[in-house]
Amino acid sequence: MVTAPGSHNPLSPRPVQPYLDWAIATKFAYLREGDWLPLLVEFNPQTLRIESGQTSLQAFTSLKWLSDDPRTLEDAIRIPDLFVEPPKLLARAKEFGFCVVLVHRKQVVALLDSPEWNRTILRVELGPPVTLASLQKTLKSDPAAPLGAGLSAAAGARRIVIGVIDQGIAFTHDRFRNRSGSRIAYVWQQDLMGGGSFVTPGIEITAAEIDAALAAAGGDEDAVYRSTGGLDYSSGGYKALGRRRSHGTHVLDLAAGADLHDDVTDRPIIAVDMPDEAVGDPAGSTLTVHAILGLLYILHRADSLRRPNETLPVVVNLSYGPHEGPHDGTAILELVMDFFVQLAANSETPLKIVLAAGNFRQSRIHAAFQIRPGQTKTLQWRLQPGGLTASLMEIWLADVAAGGVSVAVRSPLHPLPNQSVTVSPASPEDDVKDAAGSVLMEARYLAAGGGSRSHVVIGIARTALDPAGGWGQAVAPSGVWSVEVTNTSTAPVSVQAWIKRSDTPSGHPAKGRQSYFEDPANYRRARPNGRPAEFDETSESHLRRRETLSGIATGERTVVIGGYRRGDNSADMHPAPYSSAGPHDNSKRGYSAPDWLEHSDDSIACFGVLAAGTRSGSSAPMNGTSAAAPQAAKWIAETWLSTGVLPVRPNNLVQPGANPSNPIPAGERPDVVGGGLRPTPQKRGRPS
Amino acid sequence: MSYLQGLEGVEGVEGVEGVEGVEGVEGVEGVEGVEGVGRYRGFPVGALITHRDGIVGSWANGGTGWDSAEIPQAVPGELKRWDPRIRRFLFESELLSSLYFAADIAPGGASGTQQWATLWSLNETGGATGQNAPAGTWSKFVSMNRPTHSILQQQLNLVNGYSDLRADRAREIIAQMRPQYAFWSSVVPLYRGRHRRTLELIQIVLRLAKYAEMNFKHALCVRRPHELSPQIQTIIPTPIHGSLPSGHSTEAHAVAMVLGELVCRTTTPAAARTQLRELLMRQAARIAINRTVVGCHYPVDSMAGQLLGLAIGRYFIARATGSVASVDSWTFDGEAFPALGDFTGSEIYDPVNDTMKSQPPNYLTRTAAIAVKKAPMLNWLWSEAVSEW
Repeated sequence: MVTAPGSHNPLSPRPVQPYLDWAIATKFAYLREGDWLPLLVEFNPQTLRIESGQTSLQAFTSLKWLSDDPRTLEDAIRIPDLFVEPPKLLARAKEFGFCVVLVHRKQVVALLDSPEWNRTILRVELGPPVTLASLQKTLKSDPAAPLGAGLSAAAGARRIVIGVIDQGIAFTHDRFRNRSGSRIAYVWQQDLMGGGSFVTPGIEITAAEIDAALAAAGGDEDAVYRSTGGLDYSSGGYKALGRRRSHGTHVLDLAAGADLHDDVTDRPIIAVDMPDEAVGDPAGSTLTVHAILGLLYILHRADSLRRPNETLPVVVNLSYGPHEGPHDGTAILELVMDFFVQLAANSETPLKIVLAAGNFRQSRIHAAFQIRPGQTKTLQWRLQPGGLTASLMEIWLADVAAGGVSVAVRSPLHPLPNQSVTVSPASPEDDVKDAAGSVLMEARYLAAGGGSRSHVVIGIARTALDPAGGWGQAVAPSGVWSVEVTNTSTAPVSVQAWIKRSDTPSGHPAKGRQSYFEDPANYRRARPNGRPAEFDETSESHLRRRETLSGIATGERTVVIGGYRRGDNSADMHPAPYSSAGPHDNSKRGYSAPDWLEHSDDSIACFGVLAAGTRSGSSAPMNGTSAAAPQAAKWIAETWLSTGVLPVRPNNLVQPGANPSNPIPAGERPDVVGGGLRPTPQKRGRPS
Repeated sequence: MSYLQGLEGVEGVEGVEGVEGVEGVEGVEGVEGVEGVGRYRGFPVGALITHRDGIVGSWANGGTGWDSAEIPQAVPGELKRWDPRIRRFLFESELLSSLYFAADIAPGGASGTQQWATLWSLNETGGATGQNAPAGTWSKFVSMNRPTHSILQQQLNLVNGYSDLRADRAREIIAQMRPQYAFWSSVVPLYRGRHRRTLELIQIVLRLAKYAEMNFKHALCVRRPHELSPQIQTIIPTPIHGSLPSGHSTEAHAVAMVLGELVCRTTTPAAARTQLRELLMRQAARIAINRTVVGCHYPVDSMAGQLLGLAIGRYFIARATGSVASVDSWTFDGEAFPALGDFTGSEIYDPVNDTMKSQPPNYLTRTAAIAVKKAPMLNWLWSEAVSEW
């Protein structure tokens, strides 16, 4: 079992589910429409009645732990088919303690109050709500059906599956086709309406269907997306495939794109297109639910593609990541990813997962400090005006002695009444509501339990009225809030705080504004020569550029990739200022930082990396560790194809040059660059 | 001249003194004095007066060095003697004299009866001359009926949906506020210096399209999307005229049709011809759709505009070349348009075969073909333009 067998901390008899509690307390005001709440849960297998021959997952998905007659639960709780009929790899695992469950909004409070839920469930993460109409069986195509014409590789040829979990994937683009047809074996559009009666949202499209649709449309890519529902102008909202460029298409091109005329057949693609709300609407929910379903889907479909006696590795790229999390490898998605990689290691489908390190080094979303007993540390937390999303923070505590820590959150209007909340182990929940009963601010102290350390989660209402939300909303004051952490125990305590992501990804309608820490006394944003400060260097601030890796990028067995900026020669190569840095708290992981860096900016003047736009023949620049990670996935795939060995790390990594005009402090270099930079030739146009 | 005398001696008024100055030395200042007006500002009128005085000599009336014989009066006439501004009046009147616009007027303004607006085309039979009156048969060319109010309200959902593309398309939208020469020139290598007659021709196409579309817009008087909702909030000013048909769609499709025909040679391979047509039509469709992104048109406007533009383009080619004896006539029934129907540019026209689709959607009906005759003056312009390619 990959996580400590769970039992609740006696101080906290309920599961650790702060964002679900926040959603319920705020009456789902920050979430999109949708009756069903997708939850990613960690459960305690020891509380299940496991019949002989059953795995713990099977016992869980039978729902017998919740009711003797699970059929009565259909209106309240359902399990996606990807967990009920999991991929072979998972089906063989005796003890796997995670699952996605869909809970109806109207039943969720009753469920959370039930003793069965509280006894069995250890942790919960919340994904964006879905509607019943969009639920349907995921794996609709017949695995025995012949593959698309573009996928036929010679018998015995070495192959590798490239899986991409992203958003806005233009699957008819000619970079994902060869002369015979589509190279995308399967694409799962997670959020599209489809008919049917099963329990996982979205529709699946096969290569043969892509070929047929494109032929029927006379090559008109717009027409294909309109007909599959990926481009529906009769509804409002963000339309990735209507834009000139999209994140998912760019990432997929970097990971698996090839010129049509090169007739590539050795790296079939499996793509998972997450709903916009999973990635475009932060601070309400998290993408981890959709990411896990995507991972299971890719494993399932890789099984379908595998030929008898073939070793068919799978490299999966996930270019997304949250700010927050324990950063010690125990986040649910981290544990699941590690589990799968380990399980697959000696199987016929070895797995590698590549993650983006994160773009948060300059974002001022992380603070770390130690406090002695009796001491108080005050963090200044600035909430921007006009933010329509909630501001949330996680404060993680290393082993806390008895007595613990108390956290007080005070609004800029403090000491006016009802402008602060305080929590501690003895008083773990506190909130302030406005006259109408809407939550203005709340905090929860979550004692260690299940696989999770003690932490405090703070939530603050939006700082402006959301036009879509009506008039009865709580609006919190913007400005500098203070978070006072007092050590009420008898030993020093190490504290790490991360602010949840709440800004608007570029291209989306402006909604969220990112809150951030301030420390004017000690945190330097610019160096004496006026250039932006890229490293902590001599800063004595609790506000850190280090320890900013994505909250799902500190697992043991995943590959974490940061970004660098190319230059005219190797001395000019420089880590991208935004590329998140270690260290982290997972002693099991090899590097304390990104594994290595791939290029994410072509030069100081030319931002980003060029790759496919949303229509054949187009290209667009995009930067970020999102663009770096898929290049590592591609390198892994190419190394396998040419040598038959799945590589661990490139052996031509270089340490960035000591450029005197832009130095990297020696002490911080490993946290930022990890193993080093993988040099790629300076090319114009698309990377090869 | 009297006003100039009245200002004698007023200093600072350029050259006014000069009129007096013809007699005497003071006149030197006045030489610049008599200037042309308007577009002839700077034309050296005063200089020419004095200059002629200097060189004309005594009147002899003795003929010319160059050919000054009587100009024969023929058809189409000495068009190359004029310039594009003058010719514009000739081509427009030649085209418009065979087109008549009329609309149904409901008795007593009653609603509920279908009100059609129609562009009629005259097929002139006898040649009209200075002595003989024009005569011929009038036939329906393009007829339109406007969508119901409730259809337009449903169409607003699409206008809202397309608003997501505003940031993406803003630069194109701004550039396309003016006639889209930059865009046509990006597909077809048009040069101001090399393709003077082609550009003159395109301007006539645009003028003809405007005459047609403005009459339909007036007769159908469809409210713009931002008149039906305060949430549309267009990103550029919405033009003041009616919404359907879309002017941008009409003009872009008319030009696409004409340009695709004009620049190809008889020896152009079919595949190249088809590709060019596809690109020009995709371009026209994108120009039209961008107007929905702006928020100033419903998709049904673009569809009606495409129909009108393609019909106008086809008509123009027929009259300019005389190579086809008839063109199709069409009926666009806005009331039959699906409430959530969208416009992609591929619904009614087949660029591969260069025909309207053999089974058009139910809101579009092909009616009897109408005979058209070559327009002699326009034909001159067409021939001149063809020789530029």
